Amino acid sequence: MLLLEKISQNLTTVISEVLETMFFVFLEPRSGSLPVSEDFIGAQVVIKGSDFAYELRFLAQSRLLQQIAADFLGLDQETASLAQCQDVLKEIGNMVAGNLVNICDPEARLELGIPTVSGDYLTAATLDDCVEKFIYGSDEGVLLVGLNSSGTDGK
Amino acid sequence: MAYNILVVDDSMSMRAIIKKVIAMSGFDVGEIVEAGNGLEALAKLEDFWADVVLSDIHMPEMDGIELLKKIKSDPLMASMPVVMITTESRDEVVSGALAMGAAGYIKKPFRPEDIKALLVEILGGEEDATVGEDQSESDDCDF
Repeated sequence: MLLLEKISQNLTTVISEVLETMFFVFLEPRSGSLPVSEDFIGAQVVIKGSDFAYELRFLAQSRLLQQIAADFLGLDQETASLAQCQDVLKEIGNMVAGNLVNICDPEARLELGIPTVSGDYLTAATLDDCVEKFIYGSDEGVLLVGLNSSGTDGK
Repeated sequence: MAYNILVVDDSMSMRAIIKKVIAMSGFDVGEIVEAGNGLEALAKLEDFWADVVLSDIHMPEMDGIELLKKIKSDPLMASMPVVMITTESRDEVVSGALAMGAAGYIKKPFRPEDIKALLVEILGGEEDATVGEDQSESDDCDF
């Protein structure tokens, strides 16, 4: 099975584990088209193999991310700063990517990159070139995850 | 005895949570110092003795494995317990860190009791930790 398939198959389980265990957030997978919104905050993590790489892109609606960051850090929702929200999203990305790698690559052939912020006031179009897209949501908003690949994944 | 602890993670929110968990653990904590990567940690350790170092692995500038190597190869710091707190659970990485002298390993995502249990193991603070147990009854779902 290709790593891309393994990652896709395990993504929802891993996201649930990370968000529920560490952040006490429960998001449900959703289907349908990506939401039209201009208030996404983004982060990304690269997973590198010998001759290929995967990029996991995370886009969280700012209201949802503010709520997660505020709950996590013990703040009022309005007082969670953009920097704190971005830091929390990077850490979510780090934990999701790390746990995916643990499951999909027990032999430790893949290298996990350091998460980076991709911006704010983003739209779902940020994921247009992703080969797989996933939507997770609650009443507070949605978290989008896009998976992109480059090179030859022959695993 | 008050224990000094060094928390090393490139995520400020993760450092804040780990500090909060330590504060809730019931240990008599002296100073908790933060560093954003291995290089910063080594600089802090020039004039700070940590009874425990809690370190992430994946960090910019200097990662947690390199930090572990530096601490264990320095005669003045070699006895300092270093615990890795990381998303990594791949056997090669975890076994490697333990073989290099890491005192323990906690996988992210973690629960507050995971950190507390390891602190009890390393610092041996069973008598103080009962305070933390009482607190964790009400706080265990609130990092």
